[in-house]
Amino acid sequence: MNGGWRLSLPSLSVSRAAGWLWPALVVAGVFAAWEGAVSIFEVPAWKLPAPLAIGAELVESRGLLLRHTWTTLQEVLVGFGIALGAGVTLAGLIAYSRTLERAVYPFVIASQTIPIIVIAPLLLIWVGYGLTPKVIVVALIAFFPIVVNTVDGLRSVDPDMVNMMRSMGASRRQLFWKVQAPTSLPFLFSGTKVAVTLSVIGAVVGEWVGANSGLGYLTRLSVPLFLTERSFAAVAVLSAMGVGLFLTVAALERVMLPWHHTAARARSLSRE
Amino acid sequence: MRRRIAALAMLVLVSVSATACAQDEVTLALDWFPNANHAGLYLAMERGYFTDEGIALKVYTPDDPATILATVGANQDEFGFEYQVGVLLARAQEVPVVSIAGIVQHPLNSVMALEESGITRPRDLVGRTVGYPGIATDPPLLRTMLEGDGVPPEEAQAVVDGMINVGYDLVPALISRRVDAIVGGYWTHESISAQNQGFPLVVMRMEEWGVPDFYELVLVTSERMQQTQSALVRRFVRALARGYEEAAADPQAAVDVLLRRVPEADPNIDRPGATLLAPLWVEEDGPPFGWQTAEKWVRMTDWMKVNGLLPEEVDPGPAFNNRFVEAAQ
Repeated sequence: MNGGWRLSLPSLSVSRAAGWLWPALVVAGVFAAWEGAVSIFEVPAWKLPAPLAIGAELVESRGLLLRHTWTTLQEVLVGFGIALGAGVTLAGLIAYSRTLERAVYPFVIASQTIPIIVIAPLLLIWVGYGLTPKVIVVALIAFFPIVVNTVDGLRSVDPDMVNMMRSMGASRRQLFWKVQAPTSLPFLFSGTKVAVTLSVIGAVVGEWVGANSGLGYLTRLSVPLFLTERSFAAVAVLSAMGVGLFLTVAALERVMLPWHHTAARARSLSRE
Repeated sequence: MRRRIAALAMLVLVSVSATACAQDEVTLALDWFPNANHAGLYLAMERGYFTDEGIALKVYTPDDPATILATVGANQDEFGFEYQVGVLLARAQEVPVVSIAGIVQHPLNSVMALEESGITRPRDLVGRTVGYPGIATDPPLLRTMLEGDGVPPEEAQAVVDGMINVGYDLVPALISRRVDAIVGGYWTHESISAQNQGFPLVVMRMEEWGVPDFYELVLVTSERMQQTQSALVRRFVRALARGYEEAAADPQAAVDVLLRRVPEADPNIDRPGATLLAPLWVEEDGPPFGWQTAEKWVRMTDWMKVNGLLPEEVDPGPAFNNRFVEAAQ
């Protein structure tokens, strides 16, 4: 809004506070405009509920929302865990063996072009209506960004470093653990951040086609009853879940890769 | 040759603009992908009844039928085919929609089980698993049927609590034996589709087991449409009524038209389906197409209130009217 004001931020701590201030102001501004528009134009609640009404619904239906959140969170965590384990393993194998790469990688990419929404109803018929089909959908969606990013990371190793290690007599195993794995970690984290937010969408897709609980199911149920506030409240919780999972991965990254984090911050500061 | 093309193009342009000026563009949202239930509509389109009334009609199926009342209420779509219960649920949340014609005069939604399961009546479902498409009105409908067949309330509730949301793939759920029975399917569609797969079904009709008789499908428009565009609404209902009356008289001719216009429709389901449906579009010795009675609306409203689906203050009176059906005569 005001360039001069921003430039006058002197110290690091203030600029860090500003990092939270701006998004908070944007959110507050959007909500105020939304609330105002709904009340000025008298938009009925079934069309677009006001933020305060959604907030009231969040409080009023907290028991209901909590119960459905637990279902969705289980689907997300289990599905994402499977995707992470399988994705990293497969990426390691692809980076390790040229033959395997040629044999498998095209299918990994092709798998991402399959519209999951078509598969989801069939999964119900194949494996039943419990947690399993949702976990499979989550895993299928989250798997791809993890594999692709990790493979890229494992390949991005500096060839000079490899030559040096080789000349010092490093084994292939040592090369992997001491050079390739650490180099690929930032890539793995990038892929994980994408995958974890996609997982939430995957769980909703899985619930959308047939479920007895979960936040996606709750929104599906609310639509024909015209309980639009409840749909929005469930979406707010889903969004918070996605953001929360993303921040958790980002925090883990900061702990596990302190050097990477400092380097990134130095870069972003030098841009300012 | 070129001149001929140019002349032809001129002719097309002129005729397009002429019809564009004269015709009102109207959108109709369908409850489901085009099927035997819509045969009268397609017959009316094929025979030019909408064009005769000065209406350029666009028909589409939204990916979730639950959104139709919202788009009609918000005047995004002029008309929609919807469920009677949906109209009442929408009005309870102040969505300004009105039912202006009954398309299907009785329930099609029913409980179905595999013939080989030995289930013949609702009470046989005690201790069994029932699948449904995740629609909030289906569990209380089943409970009413169970109690209508003498099942004690707590046992009926246990069956309802054990229901599984199988999504829209009802028949696959049943024939893969993931569930013992389904509710939410039509006895004019799902039962035929399962039969065609080699699985004959037992059908338990809702109105025969204690559920009040209701309109499975109604034609809806918004309150604003019926007030400010009543002439257009009248013309639309007149064209639709001609189509359905002729379809009821010759359902297979109507299916011929449906299949020609919608090649994705399944003749093996829609042909027998249309024969079953014809007497529900226009009843023999009954009122004209589209007629709705206050009795059916009041009884369904009361049933929904008793089952906690509607608040007490909902009045069925303004939810429907026959004025456009009367004017179409």
